[in-house]
Amino acid sequence: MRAPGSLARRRGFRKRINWPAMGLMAPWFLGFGVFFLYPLLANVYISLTRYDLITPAKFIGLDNWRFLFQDDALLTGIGNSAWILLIGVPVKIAFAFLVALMISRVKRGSGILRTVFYLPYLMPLVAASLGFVVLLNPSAGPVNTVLSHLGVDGPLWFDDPGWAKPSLLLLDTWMVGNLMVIFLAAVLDVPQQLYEAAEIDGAGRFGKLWHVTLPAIRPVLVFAGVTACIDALQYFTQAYVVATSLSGGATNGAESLGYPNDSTLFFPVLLYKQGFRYFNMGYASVLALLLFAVSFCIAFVMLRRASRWS
Amino acid sequence: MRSVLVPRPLRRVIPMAVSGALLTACGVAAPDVPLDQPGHEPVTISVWSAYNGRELDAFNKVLGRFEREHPWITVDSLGSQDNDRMVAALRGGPAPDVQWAPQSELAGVYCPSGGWRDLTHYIERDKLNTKRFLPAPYQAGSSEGKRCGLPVLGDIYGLYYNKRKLKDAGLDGPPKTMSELDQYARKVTKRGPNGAIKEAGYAPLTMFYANRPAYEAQLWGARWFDEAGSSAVGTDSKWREMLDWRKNLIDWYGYDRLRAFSAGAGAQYTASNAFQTGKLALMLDGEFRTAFIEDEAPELDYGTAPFPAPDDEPQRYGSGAWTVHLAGITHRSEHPEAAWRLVKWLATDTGAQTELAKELHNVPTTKAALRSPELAKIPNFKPFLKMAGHPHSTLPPNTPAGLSYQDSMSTFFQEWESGKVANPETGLRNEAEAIDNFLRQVTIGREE
Repeated sequence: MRAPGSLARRRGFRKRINWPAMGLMAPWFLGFGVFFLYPLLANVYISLTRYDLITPAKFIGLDNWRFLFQDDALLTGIGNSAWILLIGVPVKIAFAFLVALMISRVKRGSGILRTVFYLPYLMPLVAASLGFVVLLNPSAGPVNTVLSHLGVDGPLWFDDPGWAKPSLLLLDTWMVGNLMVIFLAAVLDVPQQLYEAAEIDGAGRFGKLWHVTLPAIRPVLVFAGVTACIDALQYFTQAYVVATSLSGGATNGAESLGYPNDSTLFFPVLLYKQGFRYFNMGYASVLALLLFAVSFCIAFVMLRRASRWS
Repeated sequence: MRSVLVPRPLRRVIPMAVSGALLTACGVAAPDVPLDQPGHEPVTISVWSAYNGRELDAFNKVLGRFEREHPWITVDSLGSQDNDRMVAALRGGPAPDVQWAPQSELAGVYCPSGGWRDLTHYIERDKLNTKRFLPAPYQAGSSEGKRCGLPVLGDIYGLYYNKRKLKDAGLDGPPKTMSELDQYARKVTKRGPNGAIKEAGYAPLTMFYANRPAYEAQLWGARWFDEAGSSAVGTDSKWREMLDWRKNLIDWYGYDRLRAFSAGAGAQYTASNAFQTGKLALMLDGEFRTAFIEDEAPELDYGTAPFPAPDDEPQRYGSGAWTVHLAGITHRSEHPEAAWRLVKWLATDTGAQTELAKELHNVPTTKAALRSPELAKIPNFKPFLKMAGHPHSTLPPNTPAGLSYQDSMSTFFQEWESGKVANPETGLRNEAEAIDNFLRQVTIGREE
């Protein structure tokens, strides 16, 4: 039975629709539908099917979801992605912030420094990854050559399962120019009076940083945190390029992914392997949905907490 | 004021559009296009291959010969097409008539899915004598009872050895058994004062150069699957023998030292390859390496031979590990008859096979081309031609999940070598279970 007054409520509802605004928003609706909603729904559907990329998808219920509990590689993928998320993201943000802080205090040549630190970000990821493979070559690379002159036995970098992720982090830290520029703009934007007031209150360098700079740039920190987390969860290109180039361009591409010893088998790499190397797109869609859910939750929690801070 | 995100009229349209789109999202099987009648109507067909540079030029040269012999057929050749592009073409967008897959294992996907056409009809109609093919490569083009590809060249893996290094160590000729390989490796290896490996005899680490369970299983005679189709890695004792053999040698080198050596050994497909620079005395590799050495290290005094056989199976000596290149007709081909002519010609024409094999330094897949004196003249190539004809030369089985079972073992091998696996028997059984589980998972819904 329809509740009394519901018709009137709906009429009022309809009146509240701002049709001209809706018209102006139509392109966004279209883009949202085509590029987000449709792929998302398609993903949900494919996750319930057997789909080898060639034959039409066939509905198989929750079998792909059940396989999550049998897949040995899943924990490896989660562990590696968690490393990048929990260690890589804080290191990248801290480095970008410190560089920005340093440049903000430089009186002369700050323009050159800004350019120098920003330039690596413009480098295509594939080229940068290959460059680091050469730089960190254990026997002939310039880094280990310099280290050996200093009497230090350099590590095997990308070839060592224990060093592969830190080596990738080194590459990412080198390419942190975009975050650095954002932090720099935020730091330069902090009102000078706040620092003066803090000085009068007896704050030292660290006190000013802790009580003035960081609170003032909090929204930028949150933005950097959210984007860096999402980037970390989608970590793929560098791991793919480094692993395939180091394992000698194996005849079987999938075998190389994760080299060495699956230490660079990040969650998106596993997803790609399942979908495009094992022709198991149904299960790859399950992984994609899982990744989406985790990204969404992280972004949601961070933004919620950030709104409470402000 | 609350806003309404989706206007009422759209509320009915969106679900309909989404459900319609979902139905088309996952590909639709192409109708089975009837075969062309054999004829000489002018036609243009396209062929995609993974070749590029010099190899593509050689391939195109051979295609030119096909066009001269079939003047009504024009062939458009496109190189640098990797597996992803090949599969995408089978799904939608521009598609070639003929695809050339460098990995025969993909037949496990292309054949049952219908991505490549079933060639049985053509083979029967043309009374193609399939005995002209070498048995292992011919077997590679079928999966689950469907024949969708014909072999067109292949690679066969054997032993490369540095003659001078062996002679300096007082060794005569290549090793023929795994025990001998172990002894050779130890004798030839040279270490620095701190124990670091300056020159290695044989570096058995998995993923170093061509060291892959995929090849080594063939050389050891280890089975991937049993008669029932279940993984045999937990039950076939050859796997355990392989593990023990390599661990024994790795421990002698020291895992970290060998790892350091392999990391600094120079990339596999560059002039700094450790075998080519003399830092590695023995290695497993394909026949194509002879072309690299000819170009990049012509002074290298080396020999080629079959890879050593397990001590208890001397009859395996002389065999090699195959990988096969396949040609097939895509299900989206609009000119399947002309495409079939090309596939058949590439796979069976002795002149075409010989010319391609000679240019690319690959092994032909027909018995007639294998006997070609032209190929035997290539320095150090003859042993590979012999290996190709050996009855124990095999290749890994095709599965609907591509090469997943090989990857799984590759990871296990690496863990074993690094000392992370406490109990290899349990580890192998777990691997077998994981392989079975995965293959079961990818085949759900296929039987009905």
